[in-house]
Amino acid sequence: MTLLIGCLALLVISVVLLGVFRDLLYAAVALALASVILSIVLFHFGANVAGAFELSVCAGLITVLFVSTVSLTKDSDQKDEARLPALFILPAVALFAGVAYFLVRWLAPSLPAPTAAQTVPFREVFWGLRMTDVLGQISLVLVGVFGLLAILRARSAEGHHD
Amino acid sequence: MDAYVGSVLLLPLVGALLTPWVSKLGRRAADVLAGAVGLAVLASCLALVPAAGITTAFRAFGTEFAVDGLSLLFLVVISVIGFFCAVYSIDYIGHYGGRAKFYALLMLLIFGLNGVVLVRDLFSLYVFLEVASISSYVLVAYNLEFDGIESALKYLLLSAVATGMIVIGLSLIFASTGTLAFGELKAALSGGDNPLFLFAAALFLAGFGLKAAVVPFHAWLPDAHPSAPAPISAMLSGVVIKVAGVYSLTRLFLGIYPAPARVLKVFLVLGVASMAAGAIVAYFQTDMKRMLAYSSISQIGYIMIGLGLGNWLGVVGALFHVLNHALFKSLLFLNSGAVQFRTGTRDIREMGGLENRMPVTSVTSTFGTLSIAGIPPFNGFWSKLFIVLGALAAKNYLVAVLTISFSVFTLGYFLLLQRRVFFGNLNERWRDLKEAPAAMSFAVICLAAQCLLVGVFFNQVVRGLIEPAARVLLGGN
Repeated sequence: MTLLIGCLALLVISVVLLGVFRDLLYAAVALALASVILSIVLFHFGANVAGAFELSVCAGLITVLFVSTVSLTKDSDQKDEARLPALFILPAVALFAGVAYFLVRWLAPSLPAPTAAQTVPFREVFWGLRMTDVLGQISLVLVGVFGLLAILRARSAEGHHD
Repeated sequence: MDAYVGSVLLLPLVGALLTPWVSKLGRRAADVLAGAVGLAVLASCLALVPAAGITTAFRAFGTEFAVDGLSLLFLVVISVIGFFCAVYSIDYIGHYGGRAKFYALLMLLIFGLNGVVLVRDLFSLYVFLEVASISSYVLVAYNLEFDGIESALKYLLLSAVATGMIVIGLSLIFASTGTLAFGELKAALSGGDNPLFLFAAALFLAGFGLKAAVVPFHAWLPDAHPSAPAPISAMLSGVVIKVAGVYSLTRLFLGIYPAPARVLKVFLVLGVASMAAGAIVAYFQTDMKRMLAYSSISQIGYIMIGLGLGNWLGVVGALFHVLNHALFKSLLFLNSGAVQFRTGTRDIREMGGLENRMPVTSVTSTFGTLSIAGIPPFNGFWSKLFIVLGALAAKNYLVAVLTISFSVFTLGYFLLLQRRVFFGNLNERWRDLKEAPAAMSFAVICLAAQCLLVGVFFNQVVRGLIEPAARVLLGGN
């Protein structure tokens, strides 16, 4: 229980830092930290597959992608952002946490007891039962790649208004 | 039959994968590929229409896919608008550059939308919804200008809130029922008034409501739709808000959730609020595309009203309006894009007298205006008539009167738009203006013709495409 509370507290702190950091590189690192802590929480609940995914894909692969992208665009001009939104982050997180706490308290009696550990092998789940999600994930990666290429492209003068 | 469904699902993904290589073959190679993929998907969808009343289910990639009447209606909407947007883009997108990337993202958007309407479990629906949503964020920002990027960020942030709500709803439902498959979920949810189901329903309503841009979840739409390139505005208003929002809400609350009476009342209230607020705010706009965006909120209101009535006429009217609104709103957005393409502005006050310089755009815009205002024999008349008749059948006279009144109001502000942009004296600035290029004109002529033909042959369209969809939700008539 102590580990869980500690992890959740660290998770909140890392998410707050993610919103507060002015440097995108630090924000990417804070996001990776949040993913690592979340994966610990998932392992703690016995969701080993989800934990492994969170650790490898979100904390690993996504961080590498973010850091690479940030490095590529680092030299471009970065305007100072308004300070106002940062002021709202802590109260917003506190409000969310409070609402979430009361919701969980209200809904907890309606939730069934956790089922026994899954017996279907991971390979069967990944390539058999949830292949559609894998297809969806592949498409999402593809969207990300095309999206980045589109956003980072040089504006072409091809056929400008004829 | 499975081959057609497989083509509809996978061809856009394959097309997107091939685009970077094909685009190296020549300047127009990506245009040809996108057009060919769009046409093949459209042909496959139309091949499925004769079997609209039959549910075709099959397993692929470890999950169940199925086409029933409701899925087919939305597939037709996606493929028709997707194809004509691809054709329109041939002459339009060179203006922005990055032609191959644009088509790849457009095809991924279509792939995601097709996936949403073909899957048979809520988690897969969510995954495909994300594919479509993320593609659309990038496409909204495609012009790389400040307003586009700002709108895309707003769209992304509000959509993230919607997604969060949907995922929490899914988690709660899965935790208590152990399944997210539509069929099993329907049986599991019929087990009583669990507060958890009710809470999940509220989350779904807000999450998918935000995707559908119904009032009060509409804040992202008036910025995102005008800032996007015209074909993407057409896709967003004509297709994305309907598939991501209306289809998901309909499938969930009229197809899966038991005893939807309470939810239908919410639909009705949200529908009336959207219809009224969208129309009133649209009237005061001076930005042509922004006016169309607010009008989309109003038209989504009609659809929600029809669904909220819950009777046969109301639901048939709502589903028919899904098709009709896709046709005339895409047409109007593409025409606004043509005007902006030539004049470089979206400000209605700077226009006037364009009918002589852009006759095709002017005439097809008139078709769109008459359709959206519900003037017979155009398609919008019939769907609005069904909705009004549904309200009368439900003895909801206030809703019937409001629906008619706001339809007249819609005619008013669209005629005003038409007059300010196309009629009156020609602004001297536009003396040398030319009609939009051939591919853009071809796309809008085809869409305008469909607005008229669907209206003239409404009986065949309703019998062949709309009633099978309504039967999925309400059972036999």
